Amino acid sequence: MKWLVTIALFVFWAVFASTLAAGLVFYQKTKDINKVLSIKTEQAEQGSTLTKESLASNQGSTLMSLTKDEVAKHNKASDCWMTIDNKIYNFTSYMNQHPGGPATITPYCGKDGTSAFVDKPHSKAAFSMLTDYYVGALNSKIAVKTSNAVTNNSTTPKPGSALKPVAKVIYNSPTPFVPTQATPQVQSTQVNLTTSEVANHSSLSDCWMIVSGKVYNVTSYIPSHPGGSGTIAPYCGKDATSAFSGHSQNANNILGSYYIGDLNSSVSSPSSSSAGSGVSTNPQVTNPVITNSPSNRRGSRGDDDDD
Amino acid sequence: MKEKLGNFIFVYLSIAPVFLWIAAKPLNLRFQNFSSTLSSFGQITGLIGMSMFALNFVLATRSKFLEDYFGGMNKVYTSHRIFGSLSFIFILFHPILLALRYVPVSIEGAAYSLFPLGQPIWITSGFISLFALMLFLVLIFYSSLPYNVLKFTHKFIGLSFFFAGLHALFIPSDVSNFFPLKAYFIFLTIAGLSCFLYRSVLEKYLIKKYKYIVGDIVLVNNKTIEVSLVPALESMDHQSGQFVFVSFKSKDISSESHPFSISSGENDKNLRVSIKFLGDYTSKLINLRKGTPAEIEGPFGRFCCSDKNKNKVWIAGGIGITPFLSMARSIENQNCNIDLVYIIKNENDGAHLEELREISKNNSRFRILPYFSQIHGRITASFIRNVCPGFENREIYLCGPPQMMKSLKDQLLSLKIPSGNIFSEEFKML
Repeated sequence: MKWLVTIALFVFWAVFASTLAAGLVFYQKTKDINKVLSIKTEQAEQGSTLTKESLASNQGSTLMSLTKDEVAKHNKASDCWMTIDNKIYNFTSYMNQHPGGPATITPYCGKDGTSAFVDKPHSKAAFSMLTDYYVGALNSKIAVKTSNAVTNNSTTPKPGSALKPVAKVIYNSPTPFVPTQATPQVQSTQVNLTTSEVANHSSLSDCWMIVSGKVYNVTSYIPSHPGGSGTIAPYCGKDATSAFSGHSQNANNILGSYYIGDLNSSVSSPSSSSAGSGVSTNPQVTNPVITNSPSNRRGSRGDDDDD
Repeated sequence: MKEKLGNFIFVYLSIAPVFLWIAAKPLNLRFQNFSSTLSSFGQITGLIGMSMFALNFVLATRSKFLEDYFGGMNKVYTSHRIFGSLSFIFILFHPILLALRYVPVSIEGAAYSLFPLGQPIWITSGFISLFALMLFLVLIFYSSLPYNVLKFTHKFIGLSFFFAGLHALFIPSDVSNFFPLKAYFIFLTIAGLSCFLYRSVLEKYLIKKYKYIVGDIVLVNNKTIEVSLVPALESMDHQSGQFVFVSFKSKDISSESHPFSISSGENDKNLRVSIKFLGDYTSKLINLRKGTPAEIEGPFGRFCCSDKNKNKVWIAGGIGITPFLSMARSIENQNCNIDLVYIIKNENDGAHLEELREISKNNSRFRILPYFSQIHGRITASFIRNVCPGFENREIYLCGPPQMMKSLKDQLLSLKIPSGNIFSEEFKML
């Protein structure tokens, strides 16, 4: 038994010491890499987003591409962005509130934390809290306020600088809306409230459901749900009549305020119907601008699979 | 069979939380990629390590009911040592695996998670527990500190366990989120802490001890004394082959308790123990004087005759004669033929040899076969076979230095003696 303990002790200290040492070495290296990386992205952005940039700068703001590289720059506890399910979150202000401590998040700063987030025992509340830190979808662009003094060279915020997306939307949509996989690109057409249409709105950030033959858009209500968002989530895009049946009269009243129309009826202006959803409750990052299309989403998926 | 049950139950209780853990979340989520797999193994080592840690306090209570399930208190202590070591190994790998899961993502992250400071209190308390435990085990395994100091350090392990309990229960994990697992760990932590308190702090009030007074002290050879203990109030009954924990209350001798085999016969009014001057403590016992008060805890052990009617071979090495001496002194209780092979260096080295010869003279069913290793070299099992007729069908009892016992046991097994017929008294305790 003694030799087993000896081996275990040896392994422990070997891994312990070498991890700490490697951590120190890599800490220095990533510092250097980040420098190079930030210069490169700045150059790339100047080229590719020039027109939009000029459009944006007219309004005192500029466009920022939410690429993987951009996320990678925010890779420390004091400036922590993370991709979860192709959505980008800024967790900097949340770090110290994490029940598992900042240490368990820090390794994922600047990285894709999807699997880490999903395979931890995160509560329903944790899933709904995510929306508070939403920045934008991966490979989309958001508008960022620029101070008058800065030139085009510094459109990309340096790590650690506060990112303040403006409330103004760059594209022509009259009302800000939230990126979802199913958000129709159309702006104002008749929409038939069929079960298959409802099924298109099946995510937490875009959640429609059917209760007793009526269609509701409960997206903005999800964070306030007493049972947590996790209990609603499975019914997004589905018929929730039986699941809802036990609710109080008060709950019925609340539900009424999210009414869109009757099932199999036709309503106009879907963009307004999907507006005012979860993200708009975000105190820090309001109404990011969406420029992503289904095609580049697929592209980004493919990238992630390679990881 | 019952005496094997203890280890099974304890192993089962140690891995039971893993089953609960599996029930908490689907396995495909736990093992979907490299990171989550490492993370899962890290959690498993934590669960098992913590359970074993807690259960080991139960083994250390010296509770008599454990004896039936382990086959004697000395076997309980053997399990205690193995469980303690395994628990430590599991606990060592717990932070390592959890840190390594970050390596594919970020090496700084992995390093940061292994750094005990600047982390939430529940992680820090895990590290405190780990390093306290490490210090403690290094002292036990690698230092040559005297027994009484080592025994004293055992008290600090309760502190390590306390921090381990905080870490296990409060850190955000399946334990804190999944009620059955949480309930199990609350139960284990409370059980472990109460067993620890029972043994170390409340010992004085809760554990029954017999009051004895040192009587005659007989020098049986130049390194061995036999101490006679006279009951002050109530006397303790015992069976041959059992042992007791004795602590002498004298300013010349440290007061912690030590295990000693009983050498008096079953019908003896006084309790006698044979003591060889071997270590720090026993060499101090030369200062023992008549009239010194002693506290006795026991009796413990199951090294007695399993089948009173089967012929037996007793093999004693040196001071290992003590339990056999007790049996020989109440030889009228044995209903079988007995050959006692007594391995000693030479004639003068044999403690109690004369007395044993005397018993043999008066009892035709009891033979004493002294074996002088200085003349004949190391004893072999085939030698014993040659001198003991019907050897293959006898029950064989072994007591002596660990190396001798292990070597003879292996030889006996290779002579096709069924292991169920071999009984050995390993005697190493902490």
